[in-house]
Amino acid sequence: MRTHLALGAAALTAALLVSGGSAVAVAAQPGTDTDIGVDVDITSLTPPGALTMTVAPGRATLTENGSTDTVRQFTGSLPQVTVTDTRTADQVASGGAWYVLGSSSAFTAEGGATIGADHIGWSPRLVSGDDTSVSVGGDVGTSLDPNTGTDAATNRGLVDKELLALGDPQSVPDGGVSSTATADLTLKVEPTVKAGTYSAVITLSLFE
Amino acid sequence: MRALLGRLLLAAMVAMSTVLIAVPPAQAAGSVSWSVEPVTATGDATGHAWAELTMDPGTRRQQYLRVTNRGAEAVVFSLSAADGYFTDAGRFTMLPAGRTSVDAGTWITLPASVSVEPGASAVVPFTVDVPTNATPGDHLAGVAAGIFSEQDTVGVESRIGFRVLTRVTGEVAPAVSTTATADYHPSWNPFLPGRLEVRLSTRNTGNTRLAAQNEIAVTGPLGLAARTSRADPLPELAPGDERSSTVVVDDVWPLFAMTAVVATTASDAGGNGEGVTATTRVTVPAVPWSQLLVVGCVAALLALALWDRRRRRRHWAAMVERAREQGRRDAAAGVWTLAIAVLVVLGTLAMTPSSARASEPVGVTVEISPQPEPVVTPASPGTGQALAQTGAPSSALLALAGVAVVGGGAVAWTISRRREARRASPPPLDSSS
Repeated sequence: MRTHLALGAAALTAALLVSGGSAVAVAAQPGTDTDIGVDVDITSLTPPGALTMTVAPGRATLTENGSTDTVRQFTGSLPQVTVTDTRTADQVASGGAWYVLGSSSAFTAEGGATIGADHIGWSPRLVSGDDTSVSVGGDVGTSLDPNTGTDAATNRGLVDKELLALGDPQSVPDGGVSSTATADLTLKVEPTVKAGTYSAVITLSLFE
Repeated sequence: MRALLGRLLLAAMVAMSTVLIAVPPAQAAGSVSWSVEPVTATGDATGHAWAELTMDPGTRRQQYLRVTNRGAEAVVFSLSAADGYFTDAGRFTMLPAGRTSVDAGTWITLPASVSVEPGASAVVPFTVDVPTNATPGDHLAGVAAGIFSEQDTVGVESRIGFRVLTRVTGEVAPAVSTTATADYHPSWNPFLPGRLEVRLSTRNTGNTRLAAQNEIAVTGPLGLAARTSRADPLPELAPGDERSSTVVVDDVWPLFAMTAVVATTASDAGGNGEGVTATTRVTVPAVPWSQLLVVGCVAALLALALWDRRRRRRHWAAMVERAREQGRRDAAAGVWTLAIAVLVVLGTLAMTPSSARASEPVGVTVEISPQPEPVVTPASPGTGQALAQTGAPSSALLALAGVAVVGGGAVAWTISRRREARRASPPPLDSSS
């Protein structure tokens, strides 16, 4: 009996010591140091002092790819969009960051059939550029994707303005920086959708 | 006046030279590179990233945007104006081409498109006409110059624009309201505080653009363990906008019920007037489970220890009592043993009656037989025949009985000692309880 009591007390003390110790350790945890040196090749981009968008030629054709019995899937990719920021610090509005937002119209076919913009999603990615001065937006799923887990909130399609890329003017090196982004597009429709040639317009807007 | 006329003429010429009427949506074969910015009538940079205007209802203002073609080919850029709004993240944008504007987007008039030679730029004038029935406050719009990528199944309209923020004079009043819900997340570690997660919904109920910030003060009952946390400033809110945000207040000790008082301070993002505040409060249960568990464990151990001590004391008392009992029994046995021993001794003594001492009390008149030698020797029981026959039976019996009693007593004592010892050692069942 006494041994058991002693064991219990010892276990409790040990648990308290460990948790207390970890509490102290947590309290003493130093701030994360993210001061990482970045080497940037600085090439003078001409002309200076402007926020320029360059859109590569190309089609955003969607072709059927990976359809199942329950979902027909069409994939493609957006033309590459390059944003070049050569503005100096005093040209940039305080706290202002440039961003490219995208939204899609509904897909319409001759005869009036439509597919809502919630059926098209995208997955932005950086083609070239320094990811310290630019970040791409998160994936946006379609309304036919399962609404489970953390993706549920973003499975809404390109109905509203979704972020393609976001530039950070604070980390623009002298001489400017150029970033190229694109996005993989996915259109998902029900197998019962009426056959036809559908078309839509994706609007990419550069604002700051 | 002449200067103004000249400027207007220049603007008109610029506009004439650059605007092509009735062109199809701009098409581009190669890559297209361009930039758009607000400028003055003479084409100088305004020094601002966008246009902010304060206008009376029923007035008109001329503004200018410059489109610079930084590509290698001449490009026809489509120009557009539309209602502007903020996304949930507070990013300004304007309605896409397919959507119809209903507010400030309809106040802007500008050419449909502009053709710009490579390496050249065009200054495009546009007008902002505030209708007479416009409500006071901020109205958001944007202007943009863009292109359509080659159209197939999915056309891509790419545009660069800037904000045109118009403040209509009148009764301009910022106002804000906030609602809050909260959850307490305790730490498993009793030595660490938990955190309070407060979800806020802040609404711009006034008619100006708002810069708002939430500050949260968390207190326990009676104002104990107060903690405050200032959230990051919210993204700008247009009139009527609602922004959700989550603020996590760290280092909150659970004191059964924690109250978060949310104070929202907002100010006119246009920079005029004083700030406004709104306060809301939410109370959440915060039961200190891990701390209660520790207290419970300590209390249980203490109670067990106390109970064990008492039980032990009782056990000791019983042992002592038993030992006393045993002692008494042993004492009685000792008395008996002593008595028996005395008896044995007496018996033994009785077996030597021929000794001088024995003859003494018996020494009465003795008729001495004529036998030659009277027995005087202290003989063993076997030798003194005559005397032995008289004394021997009783003394031998006594001795035997004495030995038997002593032996029995010793055996009984040993058995009882053993039993005692067995009882004293803890039986296995008892120890496991």
